[in-house]
This record gives sequence, C-alpha cells and structure tokens, in this order.
Amino acid sequence: MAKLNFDKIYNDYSRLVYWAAYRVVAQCETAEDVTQTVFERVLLNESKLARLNEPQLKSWLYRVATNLALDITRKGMRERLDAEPLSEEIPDESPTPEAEAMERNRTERIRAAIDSLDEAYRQVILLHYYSELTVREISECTGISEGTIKSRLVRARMLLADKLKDEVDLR
Amino acid sequence: MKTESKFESDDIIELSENGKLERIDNLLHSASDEATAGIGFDAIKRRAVENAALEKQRKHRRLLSYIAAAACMLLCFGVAGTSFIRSHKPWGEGDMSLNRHTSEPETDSNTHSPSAIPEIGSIDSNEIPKQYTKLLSIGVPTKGGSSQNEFKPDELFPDELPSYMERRIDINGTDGNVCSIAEGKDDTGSSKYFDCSLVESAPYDLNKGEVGSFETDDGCVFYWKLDDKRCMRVRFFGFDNEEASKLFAELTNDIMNKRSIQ
Repeated sequence: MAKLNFDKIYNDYSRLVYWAAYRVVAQCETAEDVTQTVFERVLLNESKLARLNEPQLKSWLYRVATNLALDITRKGMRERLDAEPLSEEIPDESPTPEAEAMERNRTERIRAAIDSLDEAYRQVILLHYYSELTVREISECTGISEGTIKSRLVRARMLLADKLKDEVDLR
Repeated sequence: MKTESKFESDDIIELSENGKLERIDNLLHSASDEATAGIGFDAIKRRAVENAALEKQRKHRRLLSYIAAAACMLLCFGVAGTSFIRSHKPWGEGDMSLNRHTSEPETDSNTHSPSAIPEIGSIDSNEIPKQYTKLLSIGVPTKGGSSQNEFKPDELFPDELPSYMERRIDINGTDGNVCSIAEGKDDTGSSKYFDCSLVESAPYDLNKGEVGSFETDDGCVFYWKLDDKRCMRVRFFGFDNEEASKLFAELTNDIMNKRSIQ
C-alpha cells in the first residue's frame, strides 16, 4: 500500500491551504487554525489519501480548507482583516523602523485592496498569487473554467491597479 | 516550503496602460511573499502532528472501550441465555432429564467420581423425579403388635455392605438427626457411599409402611414411611439399582425382624 509522505505534502500545500482558508475567514489566526485542522485530517486519513494522485489531493485539501473555513464563518467567527494586528503579517527583518513602517503600510494597503474586491476576483487573486496556483490548478480546485479564471485575473488586476494607483505609480 | 514560481506559465499579463498590470503583478507577488513569510508554518505543522497523535490515541481508547463494552454485553447475553436454557429445557421441566436417566440401566457406577459423593442431605431437589419410580408396601417395625415410635436409625448398616466401606455415625447438618454413613472405594477406585437417616417427610406422598424409590445420576434413594411424622431415607451412591435394592431390602428386613426394635 502506498505510503503518504506527510512532510512533502505539508511543504507543497500548506500555503495553498492557508490562503484558501484565509480567503474565507479573512483572519490570520483562524486561517492558521484551519490549516492545522486540515493537516490533522491528512494524518488521520493517511491510508485513504495515499491512493489519491496529486491533482485529486490538491483538490481535496482545497475543499476541506474551504469547507472548514466556511463552517467557522457560519458560526460567526469571521473578523475582517483590518482588525488583525499588523505585526503578525510582517517579517522582522525590515532594516529600519521607517522602512518597516512603510512596508507595513504598503502590505496593509494591498491586503485591504484585495479584501475590497468582489469575492470572485478576490478568490482568483488569493489562489494565484498567495497560494501560488496556476490557472489550471485553480480550475481543478474550484471547478471554474480556465478561461473564466484568466479573465477574472485580468479584471482583478485592473481593479487593483486602480485601487493601488499610488503604489503602482511609485514602482 | 514551495518556493518555485509558477507564474511564468500563465500568459495572462497584458502589457497595457504603460505596464501598469505588470507592475501590479509584481506588487502582488512581493506582497504575497511577505505575507506568507510571516506565517508560522512550522508551528502549525508541529501542532497538527501533536493533535493528530492525540486523536489517534483517543480513537484507540474508544475502540478498546467499545470492544470491552461489546464483550460485557456478550457475557451478559451468555449468562442470561444459559439461565434461560436451564429454566426452559426443550423437553419440559428440568427434572424430566432425571426421569430419562431413571429409565436407563445403571452402567456407569464403576466410573463414579469421588468428588461426586454428596454431603448428607445435600441432594438437590432438582434431581428428584416427579414421582417415585418404584413403590412397595412393606409395613412398619412393630413390637408386640404396635408401631415402634421409639425407632431410631442408630448404626443401621446392611450386613452386606462391602467391607472396604468405612462406617460411622454422624449428625445430619440440616436437621440434626443421627445419620449412619458408610463410604469407601472398591478395587477399581470407584467411590461408594451409603447413608441412612430419619427425615420429617418424603418428597412425594407415601402411605404408612410404604417404600418409594427413585434413581438419580449417581445412585438410588429410598423413602420408607414409618409414621405420620417420620420417614427413613436411605441413599446409595456408586451402586447399581439391583445392588442398592438388595442392600435396602436386607436393611429393612433386619429392622423389621429384630435388630432395630428397641
């Protein structure tokens, strides 16, 4: 019987799971809890998951993460990202306090802009940029056609460029 | 952590509006990398592994408790089923099994186990058939033509009892009556047992002077009604029916004729 390589699965898909959960709950701590729970389930269902191929496994992880996050959201635990302490999002290696503050502001503005998008656009942006999924992989996970995903990505980027005009112009 | 970029394969970046979309694409890449770098994936993994191990232990314990509960239920069903079968034997009431034995010749007396010798008065009422298998009227001991109310079963042993049977007089633990007992083993190691005592009543009706007998798994039991208040009970274990009947007849003749009349 095939054996599940948990370390490899975690390394490959923890980012996907986290941002899939974050897309729904919009709260870092809750997304971490969901990620933890998803991988607990992976460990508890090793024998079943070992039979899945990679796309099936990826789709399973995305579905479980999304469903768990939706359950939490339904229970009224959702909190908006802007309520999150910013320090959790920013790594410590910022060179100076001024640069760190600038980075925080920039990251905060970008995240706020993403959160302000409609759900369809927000979904493709988070899955593509944050979960690092290709258009095909997003299609496999969500069941949405690749063409629709591509057009949503283009539209989402245009909306973000508009919302983040200052950031874009500065670069 | 997966680090290689997959974005090259997606031909969706359009150069438009002076490269605005390219810039927003780069901006999103760097923002996602920064955000992801701040996530404690190692801690999440450690907690997931620990919790999964705990959950597996809990599942294992739950499974064991289910197995234990199932075993208890099976045991209870087994005990209840055994009790039910004992109290509802398919051929009728439980003592009918002994009636079946009584109709068969005694063939296993030589294999009588020493441990099967009953204590005095310990014969289980369940082993007593519904009725005597033999009834015989032999009268009662008399002296000068009247019934012997002073009759006592002290040292009442048939003369023909095998010599290897050790004789003694004991007190019946259940009613305090004197009881004559003889027991021992023959050459083959089979145990033999005899006792004779007075009891208040026989298990089934007898007329005065009448003897009722029946067989059990281990031997024969005789009740001789002496008067309204007393019966003489004689039990033989390890003897076949014919031998027991012969010894009982010898004993009663002895009582009737001479020895026990006091």
